Amino acid sequence: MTTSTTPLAPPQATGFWGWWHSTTGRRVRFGVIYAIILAILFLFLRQLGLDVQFQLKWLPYIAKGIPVTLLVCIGSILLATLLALLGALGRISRNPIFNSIATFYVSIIRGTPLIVQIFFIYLGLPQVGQNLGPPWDKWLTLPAIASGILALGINYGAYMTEIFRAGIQSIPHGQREAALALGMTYGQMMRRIILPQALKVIIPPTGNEFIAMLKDSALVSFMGAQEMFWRAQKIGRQKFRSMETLLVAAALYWIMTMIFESIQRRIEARLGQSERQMVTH
Amino acid sequence: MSKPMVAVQNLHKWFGTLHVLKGINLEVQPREVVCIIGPSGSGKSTFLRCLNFLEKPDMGEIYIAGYHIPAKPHYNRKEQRMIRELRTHVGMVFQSFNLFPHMTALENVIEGLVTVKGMPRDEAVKIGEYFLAKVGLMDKRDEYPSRLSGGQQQRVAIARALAMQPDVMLFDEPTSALDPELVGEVLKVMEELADEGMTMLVVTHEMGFAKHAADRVIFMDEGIFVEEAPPEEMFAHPKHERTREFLRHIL
Repeated sequence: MTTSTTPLAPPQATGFWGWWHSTTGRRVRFGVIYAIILAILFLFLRQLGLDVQFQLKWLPYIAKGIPVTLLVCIGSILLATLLALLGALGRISRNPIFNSIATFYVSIIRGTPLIVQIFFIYLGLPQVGQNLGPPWDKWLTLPAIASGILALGINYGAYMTEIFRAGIQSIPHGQREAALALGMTYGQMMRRIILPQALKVIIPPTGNEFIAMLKDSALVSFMGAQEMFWRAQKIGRQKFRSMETLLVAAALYWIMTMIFESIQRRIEARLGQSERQMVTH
Repeated sequence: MSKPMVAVQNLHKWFGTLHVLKGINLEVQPREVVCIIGPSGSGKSTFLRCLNFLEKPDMGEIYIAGYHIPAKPHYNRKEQRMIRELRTHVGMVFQSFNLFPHMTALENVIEGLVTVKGMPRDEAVKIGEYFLAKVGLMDKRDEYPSRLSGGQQQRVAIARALAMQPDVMLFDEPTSALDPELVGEVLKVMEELADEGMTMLVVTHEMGFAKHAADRVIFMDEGIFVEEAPPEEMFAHPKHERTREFLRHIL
């Protein structure tokens, strides 16, 4: 009897199952299955008897809402980041005034629907302005896009406050002590030591918030901001082809989301690299 | 006798209802090296952290590096500024190093000079390099802390404290978090520092260091200084029963 030789690699399945289980073909396998799902979706939509020509004709008009959507989202995320930073500093503050204000802000915003907040700012604020008289009546009557940025910014700021707070509190206490022992002020400690480290914890979930905001920005159409959803709805109602225009808008939202997801993945990959470089504990 | 570098009178500290420091008195002269030993939970670290007000003392007076600050429940802005100023004259080294992980070794060392003292960066870099060389880590100047061993991290932390050119250095169990083979390099730096005449207060479990470098050893237990003596006397003829028992356990 000859001695049994040990193979160099474990036995592999061949044929379909070999392909199904192969680790190298993972991306291809994923792509194929994804393409099948998309094909099924496409066939399903064909069955609805949609007017594709109509969709293509109005695509540019609806796509003109993309800059508005982006403007609202970028403006809102900037405002939200500022509010979240202030909110988080308030939430961790031992000063009862700051702490209470921040807690109140988070509680009331998270406790009421976004759509109510939007209408409050768009319809409620002008009324407050009327009651206060000039010059408030002018100041508190905001154009649609500004109202949208304000409403989404305030709303997302409350949710992001908790993200920022958790990020700041994830930094070991020793960092704070080392900074203070050097004679730093609270502001110097936050700016130079705590926030740069907390950013690594804060950025990934903030990306998620931004992607959620892309879709929530459709709500500002209620204020007449001429973004994608507003345009899709307008044409759909006018021509009695809502299914077509809404599908166009939905597809555009989906594509934008995928673009930002890939940007987010790249940012996270970079953060991950510097993380490996810097992690101490 | 010259003016003491550190003088503490009747210092008390409570954590809730737990009385951790029960009336500490201490005078440390310039160039003196004082080691504080004692079982864990005896209040050694808390005492050290009170000296630069990382822990707020509840009662008593602290005089350190030319600043005189009594214990108070609340410090106004002026007093808070005084405390920050005091900290720039009092270097502190922590058990867990606490280097800033997002900065290189050199950036860690110059951070205080640039941010707190407002020194121009190139000037700070010169000082930073001098102190990195002093702790023998000039070749690690651009490494991040995660790429350094524990002993190297602690030496960078010592350089970071020294760069501020403090009048007195506080060491809070600087070798307790180190692997045994890395303790020596840190103690060597500390011994050199002691030889150069730095005023040092060292909370430690390293009896070897206390024997070599200390001018005075204090045994602390349950929030009070039980006994203090020069190292030879403390280790050869401890007076108190508690000191004898502690030394029996660790030697």
